[in-house]
Amino acid sequence: MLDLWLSGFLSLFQVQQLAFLALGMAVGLLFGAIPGLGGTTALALLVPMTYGLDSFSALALAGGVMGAVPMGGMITAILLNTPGTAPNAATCLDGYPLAQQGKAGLAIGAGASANALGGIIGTISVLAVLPIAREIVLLFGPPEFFLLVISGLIIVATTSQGKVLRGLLTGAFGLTLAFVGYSNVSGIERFTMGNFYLWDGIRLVPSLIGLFAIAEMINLSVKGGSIAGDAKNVKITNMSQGLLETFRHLGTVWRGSVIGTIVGAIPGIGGTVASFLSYSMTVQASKDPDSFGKGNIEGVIAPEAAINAKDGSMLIPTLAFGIPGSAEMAVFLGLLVLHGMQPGPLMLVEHQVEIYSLIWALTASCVMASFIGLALVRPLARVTLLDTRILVPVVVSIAMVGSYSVDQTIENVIVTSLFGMIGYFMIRYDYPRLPFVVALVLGEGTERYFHQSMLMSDGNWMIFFERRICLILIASTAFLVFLPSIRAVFRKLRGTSRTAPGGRS
Amino acid sequence: MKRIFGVPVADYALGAGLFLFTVIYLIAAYGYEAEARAFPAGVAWVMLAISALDLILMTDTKLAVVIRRIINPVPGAAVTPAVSVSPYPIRAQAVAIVWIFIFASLLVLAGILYAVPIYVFASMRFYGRLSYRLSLSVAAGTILMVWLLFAVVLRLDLYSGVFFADF
Repeated sequence: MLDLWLSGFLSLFQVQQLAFLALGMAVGLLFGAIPGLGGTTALALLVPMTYGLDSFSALALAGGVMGAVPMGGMITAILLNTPGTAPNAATCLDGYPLAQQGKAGLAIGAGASANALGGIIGTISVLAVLPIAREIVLLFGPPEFFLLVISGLIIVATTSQGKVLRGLLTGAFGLTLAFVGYSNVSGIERFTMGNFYLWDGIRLVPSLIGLFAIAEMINLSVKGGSIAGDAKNVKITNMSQGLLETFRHLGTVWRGSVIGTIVGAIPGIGGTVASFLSYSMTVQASKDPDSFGKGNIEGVIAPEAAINAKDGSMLIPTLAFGIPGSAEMAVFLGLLVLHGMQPGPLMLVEHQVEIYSLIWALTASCVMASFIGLALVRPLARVTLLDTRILVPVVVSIAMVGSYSVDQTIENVIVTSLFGMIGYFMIRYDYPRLPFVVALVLGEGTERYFHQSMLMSDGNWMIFFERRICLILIASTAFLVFLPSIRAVFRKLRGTSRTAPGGRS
Repeated sequence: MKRIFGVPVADYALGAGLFLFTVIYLIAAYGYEAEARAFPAGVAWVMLAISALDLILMTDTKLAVVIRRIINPVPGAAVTPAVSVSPYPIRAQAVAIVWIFIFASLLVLAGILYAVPIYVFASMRFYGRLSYRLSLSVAAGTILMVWLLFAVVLRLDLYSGVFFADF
């Protein structure tokens, strides 16, 4: 095994491979930073161009893109509350409030180092897991997938401190919208109001651009001024502080990386769930959950570590089963086929050196893109000082054109505008957007897994309580849901015991 | 402003909107065959119940306080209605939203190459009250960037709009 790791590592360190890795990183950072584009577009653009390349160069290029995209997406998520890619939406929740407080540099520094560490931990996990990947993925059937999705939704909803009910409500709202379109289960189109565009459902990227980018631009437009407010605020931030913050919260990095690795390995779940789940678990585990959403640095570290850690593990279902875990992986699968590599169990045997070379390229890209991001902290942080009267129309224009460019459909622009309005109302009336996004992503899969489970059991609901992994999922969800109540009881008991002797503390 | 159960009417807007949406969704769901509606209708019934509860919790009543304490066990949280009164006038918020829809309509009708510079210029000059020179230069810079990135680098066909579809 060690000789394969080494062969993969050495194959990357050729001048040509390194040049393509650098090119991929540059493209990844740029495309990641532009809302609506992301890794899928970047890879789709580059795949045809790799035709004349050898497979190692093509994989270095792809690895460079996939590793750098999250870093680019994080920068705009923190500075403009506009996630460059969907998974970075979780980073907005605390990254942007930090930017508003004039701590954009701190947030980017912490996010960049969390990115790098997450990437490294993710790689180590994948290298360890790859030999037994097949067995792990096969443990999950439709009932496990269904419960995993439901657990994720409930956990995310309950992390909305003081707004649990509203978290559940927006989660349910997201689910109802996710059912719009052609149903693979029943074979008919639903809730489309006769609109052909809606047959494919509500498209995720345009709706996320609206929900985060446009909603925030409306908010900024109403408030006026600039994001950071005062130039003095931006000067006090520096990257070394951010770096230190990450190393102060190594537990958060580990948690995020493990979640990213596990979720990434499950086909169809995707990076958005990994980042939001990591964020939610960090809130649940925190001693000060109320500080999240207001600029807690752990709220940046947790999702960023998960995003880069999942990049490596997402390769497992793609390579081992030929099942792409995301749109980006679907395009990447096309690249593999173009270069004569047929994804599936045989790939793990026939192209081992290429696989390890790709994993190293991905890791190198995660780490190097983070360094580039750190080098750009100061000039980038100044973006937050721009007058919103200039910033808003420019960002809205790019976001709308980005939304159109996803599949070159003008209806995307209308979806983006509508979701922008919904997102703004959610900000205005204090409804959490996080459960809404997760439900929107997972809704279609939830229904499919449910029906598959029912078919497997002839309509017997006990299927969800008879399997070991299902029981583990139910127990862990119940624990996380009741954790705030348990904590509240303990706090109360502790308070009572302190005041008990004389009735005074 | 008029109040219902001690809370301004405007603060019920989104909650009431979600409730109404759920009712319409449920009616639509029952138009489909049993298998197709089973899961969406189930979710919608749950949403209807949560939405109704949310509306109750918005009120400044004793019942609402008790329920809020039960479902939010965080110390000190949620004893007051979970509404947030925006410090900004409703008109300012409406205008900001309308500008987005004006831009979206312009994109659909006039296409990207015309809509982007017109929107950027108009927004900066007439909404932001910035100088003509600055508004024009930012508008030109934005469309140049959009064109270079999307049309030249990505080789995408920029949407030409309903008015100019034949050109």
